[in-house]
Amino acid sequence: MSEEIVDDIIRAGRAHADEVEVALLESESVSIELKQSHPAHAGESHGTGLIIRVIHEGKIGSSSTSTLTNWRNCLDSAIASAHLAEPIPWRGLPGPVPIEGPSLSFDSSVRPDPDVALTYCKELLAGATEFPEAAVVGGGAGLSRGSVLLANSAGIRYVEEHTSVSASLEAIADHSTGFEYDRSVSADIDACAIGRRAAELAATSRNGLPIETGTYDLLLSPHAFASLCAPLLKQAVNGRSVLMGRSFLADKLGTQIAPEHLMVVDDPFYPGGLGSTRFDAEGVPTRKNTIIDSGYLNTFTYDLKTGYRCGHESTGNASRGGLGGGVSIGMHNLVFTGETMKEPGEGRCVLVNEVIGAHTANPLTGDFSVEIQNAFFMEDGHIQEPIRKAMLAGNIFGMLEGIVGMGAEPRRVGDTIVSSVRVHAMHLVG
Amino acid sequence: MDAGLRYWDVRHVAGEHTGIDIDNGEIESSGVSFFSRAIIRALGPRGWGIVSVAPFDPDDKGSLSRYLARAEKAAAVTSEDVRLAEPGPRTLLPVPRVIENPSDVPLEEKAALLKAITDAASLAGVSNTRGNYIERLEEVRFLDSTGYEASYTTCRSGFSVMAVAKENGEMQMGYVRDHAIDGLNLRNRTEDGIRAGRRALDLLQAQAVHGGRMKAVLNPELGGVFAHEAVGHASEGDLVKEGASVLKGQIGELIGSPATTIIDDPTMHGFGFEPVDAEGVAGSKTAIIENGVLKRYLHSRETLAAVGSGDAGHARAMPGDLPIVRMSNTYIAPGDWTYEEIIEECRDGILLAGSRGGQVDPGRGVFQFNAEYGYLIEGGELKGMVRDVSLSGEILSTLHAISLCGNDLNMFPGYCGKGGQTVPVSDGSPHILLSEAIVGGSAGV
Repeated sequence: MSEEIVDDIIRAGRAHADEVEVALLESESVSIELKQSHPAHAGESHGTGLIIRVIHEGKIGSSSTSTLTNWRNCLDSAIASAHLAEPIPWRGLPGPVPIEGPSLSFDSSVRPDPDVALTYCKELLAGATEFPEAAVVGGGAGLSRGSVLLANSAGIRYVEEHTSVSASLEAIADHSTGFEYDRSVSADIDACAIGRRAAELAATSRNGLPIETGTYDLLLSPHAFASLCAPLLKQAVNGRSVLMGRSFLADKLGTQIAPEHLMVVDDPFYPGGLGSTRFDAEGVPTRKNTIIDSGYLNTFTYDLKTGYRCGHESTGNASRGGLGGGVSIGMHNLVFTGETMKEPGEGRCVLVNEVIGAHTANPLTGDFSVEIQNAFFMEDGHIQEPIRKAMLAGNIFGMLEGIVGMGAEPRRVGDTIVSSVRVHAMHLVG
Repeated sequence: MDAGLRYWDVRHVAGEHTGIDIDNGEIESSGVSFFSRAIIRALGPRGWGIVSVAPFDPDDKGSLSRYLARAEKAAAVTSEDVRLAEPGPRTLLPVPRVIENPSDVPLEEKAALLKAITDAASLAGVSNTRGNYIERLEEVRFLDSTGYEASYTTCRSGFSVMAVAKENGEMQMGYVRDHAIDGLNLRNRTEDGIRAGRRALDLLQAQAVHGGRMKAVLNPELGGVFAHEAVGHASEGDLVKEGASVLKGQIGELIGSPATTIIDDPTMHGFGFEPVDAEGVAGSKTAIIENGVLKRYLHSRETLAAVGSGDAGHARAMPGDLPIVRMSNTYIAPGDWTYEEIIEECRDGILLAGSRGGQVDPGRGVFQFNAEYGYLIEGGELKGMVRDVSLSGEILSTLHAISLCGNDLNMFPGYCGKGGQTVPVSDGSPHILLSEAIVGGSAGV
């Protein structure tokens, strides 16, 4: 039935527009939510989605609906949307090319089974018992499976399946909190370790000491670094931000913006990456894009629309997330690598496991001030006393320049893959 | 009802989402999308079974029975001792009178009105403008196992306008937004565009501030964020129940300065208004803190039964998602001081204004949020403008640091995220003076 709807939409749309693109999404998931140490909610969800884009004389319109039988209204809305849009120098949707191999963010062994989710929850709780002074606040686990069928009037008909497994736990000890999570395309998450880590962070962060306002070397955990740096870097290299004059990096292509040991790659083929895919949201085959190459800004990211406007080809970075199911520019898996330090915590530094308020940074300039969380003094690689609270202020791009080395163990934080990062001379307000 | 279920409810939301994006004076995208989502909750002997579906057909009674059977089966793996308080009042609160229904205005006209606002922001020195319009029509139907039914329709809409100014390699942004539940708010708003443009230009000349401890005056927008982030979240009954709030066990205690009264009011016709909450309960005005004393928490039926001290009616949900305890319209009650008196009393410190958002860890009792801009206060007078200033602190000590409350309460609409769900809210305050605050800035960094 779905296949027929896709053909019907393309046929009906072609009567009004030069080109038609249809994405048909289906998903199912199960989850169990813990309230303190008890499974309190057990749920399942089922959803469908239909996204239609039409392009007529360089004008792009889109609409979406959760009700497949409503596709004619959705198509009408997409056509009306295109009527209002400004025309761009459009040079066509991509046609089909061989897309070899299985889906990259899919594990056939992952099934939305509530018993599996319950097992993860039990493991979370078992891990947390290793630090009995910490009480479990809540958490949970979930498994999902879905598919995307992308078709267009140029002949593309790609199908991609994806799976996801996630677990998280939040703990508290006195007034110190700890949170840990992981999400993977496969059943390779270690729920027991997640539970243990959350409880450990809560337990060991108690009785924090004050810290003097001043300048410190920081060892940022993968969580802290990813939440501070990844969103602003993505935005600054977004081709549309550059085109519209909203990027701090707009005039820095080819210039050095980080130490020479730093590489940042958007890798759509990263094994087990949550954003791994062989084609993007417009059916453009994906490719590795080296964003920062040995410290030098190497490329911006483009979808078809921005690429056509800039006279640049798409970098395969189209993602769903625009208005009404429209397309915007995104990343797949942002992989940071750099010089590995034998001991990233050497000498004296401050270990920051998490920050709060990262989303309040200035999106244009990269200036930020956030509150550090689960932070510790560190001496020659050994964790010392916890720090009660402090505000961390700086600039994301300045912070990139200040990276002196990285830990050896990369980890996945959403769609960012990074190890711990040592940054020189950051400002803390105690 | 099946013998294995103690209670069930269904919340179905169908509607349309309209968006317009104007970038540098051109309509980048616009259009309407459609959704129909439902959540079915079933309370078994010990915990909830949940089914979320999209699309959902409310007239298909057979499908509801099947979903309830699935929810009951899911509930079998839960083990929490859940009790529900009596729902209290369930009569729909009166919906704000709509002056001009956004749904009645053609998309082209709305785009033209938004374009006029963004064009107004394009002052000399402004290099980029962007305007966004969001309109969300929701038809909500609620039904539960007691036979209670409620339905209502809301249409929320609003816009934002951003201006970017550049000079000598520096770049700054001015941002103005407004959202409403009582009708279209796009007409005669070009002054907002001009304000965004001027703010961007002014910020180019503003100085970065040296962080540290100082006296701070919060303007009504940032004071509202403080009420919301620092106090509102910590008073949510689910966090109190689970032990993740510093306000747990503090009812009746003096937790702030006697100048401080903080209220959440679902009955107020602000952006956070809903006729009944996501459990079909009509909300009521709730004084969380009265003259510095913690009086009430915010509750769902479940958290009220477990924790007490407060009223149900504060459970909210996105379409197809679980009800969780949330704020609606939250504010610091006004005092007697004028704005000029507060600046004069501050003597030396900083005025923080506007909001780029914030975050709180209610268990640890620490909050952080960023102002859009500010002014140094020297000798009781406003001096130079500053940029990229933030405020962080501990909830309880900051509440005690509120030394003066102004008489100029003002509310601001926005959106609040919690548990992966975003719901419309409003918050506000009068100008308030903090006798000590931790202010962040990047000067000298």
